[in-house]
Amino acid sequence: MAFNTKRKFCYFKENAITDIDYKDTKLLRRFVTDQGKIRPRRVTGSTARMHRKLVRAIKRARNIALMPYINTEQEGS
Amino acid sequence: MRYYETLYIANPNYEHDRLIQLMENVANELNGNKVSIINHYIWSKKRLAYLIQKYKYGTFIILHFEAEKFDFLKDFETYLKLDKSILRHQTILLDKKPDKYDERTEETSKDKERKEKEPDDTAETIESSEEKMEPEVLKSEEELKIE
Repeated sequence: MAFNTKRKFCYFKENAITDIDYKDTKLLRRFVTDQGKIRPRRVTGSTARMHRKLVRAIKRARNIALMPYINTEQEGS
Repeated sequence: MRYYETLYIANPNYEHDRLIQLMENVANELNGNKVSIINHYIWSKKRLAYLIQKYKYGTFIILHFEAEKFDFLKDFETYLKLDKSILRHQTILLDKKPDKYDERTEETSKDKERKEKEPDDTAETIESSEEKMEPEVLKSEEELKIE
């Protein structure tokens, strides 16, 4: 049996990030899927506190058109 | 004291002079409410993630201000909503006092990012370490005779 031994870690804790700016879309794009959906905490490994801040930042960025609500553009087409 | 950040998207077809006129109008709307503006500058012209009023691009303008009371915000939001040259706006409450915006520092930080992205052109070229093969030493005549 081969188990995946890669350990999950909180990206924000590793990089000592305490506040998330909604204008920093480069950072936020790491935590959404290709479709534009927010990745769950069990996938990203971020702490509950940072995930709440992250969700708020992504929703603010969506409202002001910095990030898409749904991404319909397909790569390669 | 409370600190606020308003980010609004202006019409992308506006030129610099007209944008400054728009920014003055927005600043005038805030004046008289015991509000002090910290920063008010054009962030950049960006491509929107989705169409707003059939516009593909928009000029993003950032406004930082501090206020004692917040009852004027409703009128301010209404003003932004009614202004036709503003496509969309969003006001949020900040936890800390925002840093003073300085164009020079902004430019230098951008230059640094660019430099980091650019690959080094002065990378050492790997010299060909092919050694010239020495010609095979021909067997001496004496050895040949013995054979």
